[in-house]
Amino acid sequence: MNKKWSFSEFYSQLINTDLLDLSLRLTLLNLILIPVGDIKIRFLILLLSCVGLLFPAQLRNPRVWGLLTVFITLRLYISWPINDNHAYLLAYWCLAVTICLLTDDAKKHLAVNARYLIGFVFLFATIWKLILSPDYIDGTFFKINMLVDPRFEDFSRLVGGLSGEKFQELHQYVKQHVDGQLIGSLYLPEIPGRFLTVALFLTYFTVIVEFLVAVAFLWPLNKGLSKYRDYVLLFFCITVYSVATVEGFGWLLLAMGIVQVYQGRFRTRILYILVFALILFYREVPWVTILYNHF
Amino acid sequence: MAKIFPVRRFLIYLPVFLLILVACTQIIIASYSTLGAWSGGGFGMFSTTDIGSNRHLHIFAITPNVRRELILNTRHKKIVDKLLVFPSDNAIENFVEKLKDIFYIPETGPVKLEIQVWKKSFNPDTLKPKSSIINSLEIPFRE
Repeated sequence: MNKKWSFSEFYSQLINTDLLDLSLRLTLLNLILIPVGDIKIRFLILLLSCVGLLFPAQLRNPRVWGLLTVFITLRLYISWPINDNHAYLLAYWCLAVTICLLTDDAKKHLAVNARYLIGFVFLFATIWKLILSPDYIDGTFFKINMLVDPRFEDFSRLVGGLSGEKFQELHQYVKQHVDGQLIGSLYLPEIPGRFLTVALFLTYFTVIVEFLVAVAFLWPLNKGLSKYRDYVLLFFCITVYSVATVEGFGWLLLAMGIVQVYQGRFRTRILYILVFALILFYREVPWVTILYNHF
Repeated sequence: MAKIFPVRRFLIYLPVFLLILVACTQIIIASYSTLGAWSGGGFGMFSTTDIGSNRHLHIFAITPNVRRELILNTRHKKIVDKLLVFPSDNAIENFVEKLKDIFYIPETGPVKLEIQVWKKSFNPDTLKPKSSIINSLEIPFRE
């Protein structure tokens, strides 16, 4: 039977797929797109992810997810303390999936777990930025990060308005090795006003959006900002990961977020899938570099 | 018993409790010890310039008359990275134990090692960098 591909059929499949299955598949896809763990356990995590994706009967098998939880937790232990924060979130999420698959209403319990996990991640991120960090709110963090983080280099030139020479000058100035104070140096490079404005904009923009995600996901359901939580999270992923390509974190947030979308909201679930694909685009296509070279 | 403490509900939402517990622990350790904000599960990423790459290490071999700096090559990046992220006294002692496997120690070799971990910070207006020691320890290297 040679069946022609049709968009309407694809759309119908997408809106009829169970949200729990979609969430689990996106989680496994995330693990395959960005393999985690050192060489000893990476293969096992990849193998289990492939089993879950390729064999529908295994997708909801708590043993598969239990083993994934064990290996991902083992990875945290082996690499401690240098793990990224989303490695912790991945372990909590796999544990949540395992536990919820053992209950009689996995979708409902996993949705609540997803909401609280996302809410608290963003709450702690906001607390760090607003209260605990000594150099975030004055803009120092983004001024430095735009100069030293390779992911921000072309963005700093394109949006921050730094010429190639100016970028190198500032980059070398802040990257220089120093023990104690700089000795005998009165040289202070001039920092363009536009660069400072962009750094301050990123500072406030990031913390405000993160705070909104936290409030939206922790607020009682169907009240206030909670009604718009999916859009706030999607907005965060579309904007923040366009430059700071931490795709593993972005994909995980989307995999978690999609399970708590209300059953009838078809457009929202399609948006989740589209943003998942958009982050893949951000990773594979250096669009800021292309724009920078073009202009 | 189940009515006094809702075991089932606690188990179902265990991951959320774990996240809160680990994050609060990380905040306490990072605030009162040397753990970096970006690490440890407290979600302090992208919040401060105090990241592992803005920390560095000096290792001095000390004999009765000479104090000489030792340089590690990039093969040892992983153990150095782990130390930089959380240079507690314990971590420095473990690090020195690993150095014993890395360096050949002659009979007349160093008696002590001094490990210094530095953190870079920046003037918010001029971005002028400076750094300060966040932990330093002298540890006997051979009996």
